[in-house]
Amino acid sequence: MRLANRESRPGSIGTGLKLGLCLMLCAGGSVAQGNGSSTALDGKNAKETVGEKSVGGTERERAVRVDILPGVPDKRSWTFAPPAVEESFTEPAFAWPLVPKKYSPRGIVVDRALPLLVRGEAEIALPAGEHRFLLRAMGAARFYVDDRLLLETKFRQPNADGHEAVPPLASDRDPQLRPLPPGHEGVVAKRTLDGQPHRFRLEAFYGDQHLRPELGELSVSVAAADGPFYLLAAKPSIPLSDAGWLTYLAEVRARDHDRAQAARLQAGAEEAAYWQRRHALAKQAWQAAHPAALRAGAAASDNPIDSLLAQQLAAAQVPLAPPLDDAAFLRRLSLDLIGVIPSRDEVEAYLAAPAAERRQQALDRLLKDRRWADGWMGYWQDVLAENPGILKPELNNSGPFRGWLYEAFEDNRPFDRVVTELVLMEGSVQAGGPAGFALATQNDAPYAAKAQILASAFLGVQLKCARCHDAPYHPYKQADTFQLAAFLAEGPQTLPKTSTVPRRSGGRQPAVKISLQPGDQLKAIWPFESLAPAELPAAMFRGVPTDRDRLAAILTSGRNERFAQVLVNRVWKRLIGWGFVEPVDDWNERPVVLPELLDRLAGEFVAHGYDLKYLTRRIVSSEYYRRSAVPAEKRKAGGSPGSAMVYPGPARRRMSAEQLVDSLFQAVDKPFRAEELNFDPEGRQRPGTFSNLGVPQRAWQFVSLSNERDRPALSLPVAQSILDVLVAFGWRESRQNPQSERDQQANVLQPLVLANGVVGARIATLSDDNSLTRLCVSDRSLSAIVRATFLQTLSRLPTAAEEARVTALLAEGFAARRTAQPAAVERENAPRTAVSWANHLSPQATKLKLEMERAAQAGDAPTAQLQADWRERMEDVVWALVNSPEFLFVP
Amino acid sequence: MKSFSRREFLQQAAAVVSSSTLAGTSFAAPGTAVAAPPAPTLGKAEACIFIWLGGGAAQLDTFDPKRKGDGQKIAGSYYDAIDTAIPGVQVCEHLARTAPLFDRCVPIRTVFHHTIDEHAAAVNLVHTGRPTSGTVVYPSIGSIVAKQRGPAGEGVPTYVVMGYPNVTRGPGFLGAKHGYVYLLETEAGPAGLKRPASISAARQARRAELLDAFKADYVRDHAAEGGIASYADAMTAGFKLAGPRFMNVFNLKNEPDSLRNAYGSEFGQRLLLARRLVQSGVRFVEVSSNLNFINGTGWDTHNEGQLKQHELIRELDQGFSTLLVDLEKQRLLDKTLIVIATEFGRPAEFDAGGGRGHQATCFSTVLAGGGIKSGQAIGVSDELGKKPVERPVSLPDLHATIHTALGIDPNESLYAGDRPIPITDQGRAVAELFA
Repeated sequence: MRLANRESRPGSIGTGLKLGLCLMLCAGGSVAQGNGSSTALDGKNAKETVGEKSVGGTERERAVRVDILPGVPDKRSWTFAPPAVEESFTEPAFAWPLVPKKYSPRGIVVDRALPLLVRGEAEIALPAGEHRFLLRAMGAARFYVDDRLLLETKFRQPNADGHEAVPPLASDRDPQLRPLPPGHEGVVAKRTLDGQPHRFRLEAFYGDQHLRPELGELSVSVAAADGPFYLLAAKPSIPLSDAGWLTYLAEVRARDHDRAQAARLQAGAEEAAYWQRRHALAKQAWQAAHPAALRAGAAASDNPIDSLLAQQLAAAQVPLAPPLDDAAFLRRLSLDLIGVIPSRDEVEAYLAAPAAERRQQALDRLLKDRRWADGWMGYWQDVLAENPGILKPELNNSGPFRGWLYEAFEDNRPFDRVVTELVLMEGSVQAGGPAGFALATQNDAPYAAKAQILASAFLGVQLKCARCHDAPYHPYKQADTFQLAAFLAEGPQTLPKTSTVPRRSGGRQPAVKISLQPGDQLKAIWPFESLAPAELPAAMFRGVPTDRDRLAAILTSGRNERFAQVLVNRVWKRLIGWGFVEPVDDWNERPVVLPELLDRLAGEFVAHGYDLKYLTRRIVSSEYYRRSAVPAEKRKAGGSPGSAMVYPGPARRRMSAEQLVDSLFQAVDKPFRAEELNFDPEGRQRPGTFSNLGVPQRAWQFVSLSNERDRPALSLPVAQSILDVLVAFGWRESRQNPQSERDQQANVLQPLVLANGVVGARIATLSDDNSLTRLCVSDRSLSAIVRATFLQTLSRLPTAAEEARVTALLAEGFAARRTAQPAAVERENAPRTAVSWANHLSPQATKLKLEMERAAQAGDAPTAQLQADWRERMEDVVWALVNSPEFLFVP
Repeated sequence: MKSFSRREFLQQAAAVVSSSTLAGTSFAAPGTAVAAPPAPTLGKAEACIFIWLGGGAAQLDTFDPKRKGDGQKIAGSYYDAIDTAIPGVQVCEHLARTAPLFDRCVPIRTVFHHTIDEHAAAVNLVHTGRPTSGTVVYPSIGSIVAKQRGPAGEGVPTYVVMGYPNVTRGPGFLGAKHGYVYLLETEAGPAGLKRPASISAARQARRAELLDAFKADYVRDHAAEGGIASYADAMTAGFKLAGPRFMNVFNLKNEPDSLRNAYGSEFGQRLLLARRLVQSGVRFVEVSSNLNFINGTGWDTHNEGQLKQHELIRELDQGFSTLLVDLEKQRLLDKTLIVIATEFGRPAEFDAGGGRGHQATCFSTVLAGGGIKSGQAIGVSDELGKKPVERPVSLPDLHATIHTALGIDPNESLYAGDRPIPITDQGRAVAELFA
């Protein structure tokens, strides 16, 4: 019996699972499931929350062995000779939403051979009696008991035209049973068992018919005659309820994450050895070029940042800016290292540590924090023009190579290796590998575009003008761009017609110089010999180098000092706010501020194997980093030529758009609750045409919602409300070109979107999922609540005047603020809808999405646990705190 | 190697541009003989209402009717054609209210482009006038007008979109400052601007008082910091924008019921709001006709989307004709350019489901008001509207026409950093429309 979207409802029995736990897991556990793997990783998952159980805390018996069998014929048929097992792992239950990622010997994510069969089995003794078995799958799956087929679901039906009807979603939700997700089929059968062990086997197709490889919520559950369904396991105890599934999913994702990290480290072990040799070569090259600097470096145990800056400031007779206080230091450090403000627990633990040690402790802790990778993502997505699209991407879109980038930061891969991987463009295009960098949709000179990105990112060479003609105010010719492109193409590049300045008849001549003609062929010849030598020692290569190998080696060799300098300058600018060279992506004829310091740091960076964390630690450990920020106005012209500017301290910065959004939600511990970034939840489209970038947990994971079609049925209203904030503060929906610095200008939409937008309203609302609500219903005193609120939002205690002001407002009715009402039942992370691309052209799809739009606009419901009058006053305080400019500017 | 300094280059480029403006073409070297006719004198329109028929409106079923087809095998228009106030120019029968007012309009029936027939790329092309390049994100026409003209009144935004926010409507390299304020429903008001309904005026006052205190402390402690001061200024200006003066513009209930009814349903109300926005000083309003609940597909009339297309056309007819009359009555029509645009047209043939596919080789755009010489049709398409026969109008030319009408020199350069980028890609305004 088949029950598409409408399954029989089992009777209800208490599940015993606490919803409070679910809430925590919803907030932290939802790793995006783009392409069936974790393309978008979950930063909040790693949050070092004090006093809460970690996600992986519950260890379950993993009795189910799951095999991956690639190479199944793609014929919508179950008749085939079983292929060989490629990989096996164990799971606690018959529920496998994810297929583990596969890594190349270089530790790069690669596509598995598709379609493949996921097969798992276990011998399980269920109690004697009649059982009902429920199979749920988003595609073809079969379930066997003792090798006899019991349940089966159908193959997926591809759809591209959008004219289907919207299927009904179960409207009377049974809290005991998770609703069947869109595109899934649920089938139930009865079976009487004798209490003895029996062999259960589940098989499912993955990646068939060239459709996006996803397993959806593949599971087999079992129920006693009238009882609720539990995931089939050695001892079925995980209910197939919303809460049960989300808890389980969070565990699976945590396991999958750890498994992936272990897999790529293991796969890349030989690669790591190669890079150690490379680093020895790089160090030698640098030492040979800088014998004096090396001696100076060896002699000086102090931080060269402070000694050299002190000299410069003394020469210019400028005093160092005053020191930053402890609380402000933690806020700055947190934003710089993990991209978000500290939690209240983190601030409290920090302030409780001995004064002499707290800064060092915080620094050590944050450098180890997994959110380190989140902190860097937005910056490099901009610099490398990572520009994936989730709906028929056509606007110079790349693949979602964010997945690889995230892993590179998570593993703290040496940066010469990262750049090499980028240039080699290997691995998966659509599942997050660096091959996605090669993609440039609707671009007839994709490698020229990539050449421009690489040159600006790692050489400080700005080729944007030399893309279509010789650069008028740089010494770069159009040929340089296309020669570089030829390395990436591994063959000559032909200049397309569009890559030139057109001349119309009538003798008009462009003002810019044209030295190439459409149709000209350019070969892989290194155009920047003056920056870096193309001749490199053979020891750098493994085997016969390809053009990409050569380009990667030229860019990242120790002989290319510009590479190390450019990276040091980028990291320095990001942490300190001003650069040795500005703009950081265009070094041509620019003066260098403090060239000795730049060289010293670059030398150390090379000597420490291009280790980004080493460099970061060096900078944030300096006394200079601990000084108050100074505005641009406080810059002084330096005394000596070449040191154009003198800053008495780090430059004032505004939070980036991503930092702001993440910090707003961090301030009240709320999840985004945005929709899955996917217009094809039914998995009926090809990857690359419709991508699934998962449910975002950190701001960098968002993507353009691509509603160029302007269709209500293609809106994602909650995600859009967050994009409204991101866009107002300079995040780019479309990264068609590389960008190293964002627009920092203030505009009226910025304060407005925070004050009156949906996000601002959600942050200020004391809903039941707002941690300030939990604070306010606790037994703490008013003073303690006010102080905690300041710590949570501004990472500092209130001044006496502030505390008095806020306390005066909140004192009235404080004692009677609590009602006897309970907290609302936790809702699912993102609203569900059966609207998908396949049916979005039906009027019903438009109607449903307009309803979701209204719900999103309404924001979060306030808690019933607090009296409205007192709650509103408290909300107004929170609103004022997060809207104050202090929240936005980095200390 | 000696390279130009930036300044030298920019000076030289500027000199070239100004001389070329005189010569009527961009980047012409001084002294070169140029055959092209001189660019028309800039127009005097003060604002633009840009009506967007998202999905690709079928020109044969709207502004360029041809012989009638049968909805299946025989290609052609889906409806009968009727005469208009322009002698010899017909439109589809469902534009019956617009037809007698058509002398205020100019149908351009030979707009074309070569982008493959996919929505996102074509929508981007029509909004920016350029294909994506990978070196820069081009601004939409709305952002360019916003940048060049600024708001016409105090305390109002320059550019408003009624429709979904997306990249192609955005400011591109011009930066967020020249972006838009958007709204999805006239009732809901602009996203992010309007105070949530749950916040009473008394609460807002309490909030403002608290925030002012925090802000004042912070600004005082960071005196002489330009970045912080300008953000504080933006807060003041922003809250003014969210104040009653501008928000009252969104209160359509201030209009007589008879006028509101004349405009009709949500699309008409958007046009009424557009008029009010223009009156308040907003320079560019894009109004989307994305009311897909009418026929499912909106203007992207594949398959069964065709069946109720006439209801969409009638909505357009009612709203647009009322807007023409209303603007005329308010003496705003000569100062307000109305554009009806779409990403591409549709072929004369019908698909298996009785609808139509995409066609970019020839489609229609309508201009109205704005002081242009209306009452004429520009361009002639072939028998079934597949290709231009006379006077093809490229997208750069269409953009140049709109800019010219709004008093913006289409050859002037904008700057992406220090890189000069002309407003249009060598577009030339349709000279017949200007005195």
